[in-house]
Amino acid sequence: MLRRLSVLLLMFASTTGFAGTACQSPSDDCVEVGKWRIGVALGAGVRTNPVIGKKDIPLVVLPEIHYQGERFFIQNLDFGAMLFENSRHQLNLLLTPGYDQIFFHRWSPGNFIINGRLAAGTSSAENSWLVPQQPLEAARAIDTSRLHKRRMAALAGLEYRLDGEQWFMQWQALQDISGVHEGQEVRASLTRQWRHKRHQLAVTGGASWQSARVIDYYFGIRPDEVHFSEDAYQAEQGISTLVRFDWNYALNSRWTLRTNASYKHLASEIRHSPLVTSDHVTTFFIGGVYHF
Amino acid sequence: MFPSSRLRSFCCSLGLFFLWLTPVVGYAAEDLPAIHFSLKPRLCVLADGEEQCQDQLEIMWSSEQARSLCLYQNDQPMPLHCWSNTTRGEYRFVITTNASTDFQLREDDSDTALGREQFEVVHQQKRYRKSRRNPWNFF
Repeated sequence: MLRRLSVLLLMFASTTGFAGTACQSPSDDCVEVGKWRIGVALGAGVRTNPVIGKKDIPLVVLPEIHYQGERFFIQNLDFGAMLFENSRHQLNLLLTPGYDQIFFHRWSPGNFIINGRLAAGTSSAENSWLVPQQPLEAARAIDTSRLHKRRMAALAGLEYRLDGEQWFMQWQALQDISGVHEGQEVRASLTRQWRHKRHQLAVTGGASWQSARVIDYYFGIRPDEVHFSEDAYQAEQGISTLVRFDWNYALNSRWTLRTNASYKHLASEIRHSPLVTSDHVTTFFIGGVYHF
Repeated sequence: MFPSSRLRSFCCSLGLFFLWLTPVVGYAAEDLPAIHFSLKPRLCVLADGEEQCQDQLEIMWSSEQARSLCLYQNDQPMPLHCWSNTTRGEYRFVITTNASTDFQLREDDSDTALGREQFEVVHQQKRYRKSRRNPWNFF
């Protein structure tokens, strides 16, 4: 399906005329080569956490570290090397983290929660803490202290970008090189942006395919982690989809107002995990970005 | 295909030619004036918005034999400075230019340059590139 989506995106790109534009001056779209850009976003926001027993993630202070060199770039936790570039196309080697781990990092040993299927419908951590009433339920509950630790994986692979004046397409094919789960991930996205004076608006649609190893590592439950083997959960590969909205308004050279909102519909293999109580992850942030 | 015997013969001829040439090159090298000619700094980088390079230039030369030499800038007919019957020379001045400039050392009775150095002016132009977006980024 993801291959079909990539083909559709390419066909779309070819028919809508991704007219490449060379950057001649600094702007929100164009960055100076060889210059570090360091900033911090201050505001209020939240990212919902679909994992049972886990709290939503507050977004208050978000650092931004960007460097665009002749051949290398750093964008927060993304590190890349450019293999090919012209006004429209760019092919990069990319090193980036897998972000699924962020939903698990606050787990503490000793948490004792009911099987996710039983707790379906509760969304946040505090509400989903159900105390088992029956001995059988207690026995079948997931003891999070028995679950393996979810580590952050380092993914490496290729990134292809197709830039236009109003359209932007990105495709990433990544492999875990840290030995955490040894899985693969393919991400494709298409962005349409509008600019009017100091306003910049962007709407992105995308899909992310994750191999069985990735989903099973984060959302699977191994037989030795539950009392009854039928409560184990082995996940297969899946595709999650994303819609994202970005609005930026340049107040002056130092401050930019920013709003982000995104909705990620989780792959069915993730949704069906007993560890997951929601079929989506929503993110919202509003605030200001200070550029040093 | 190139026959191997012809290839061998060609290589031998080439080797003999270089053997014959070696003493000629050596003789020619002895004839060349051994002059060390240098300038400092050699490079000026103009940032965006800057139009002129203004630098204190230090030009030096030395020779094993005493010489009478003149220092010329680009193709100007008048020398910047001349030295008479000496083995070394030094000249300092402030250069103001927006383009690369050639300096030559010539003997006072000749138009032939015995040494040539360039003060290079480079215009550093800022380059811009489309900023990268990563919708999957946590930030």
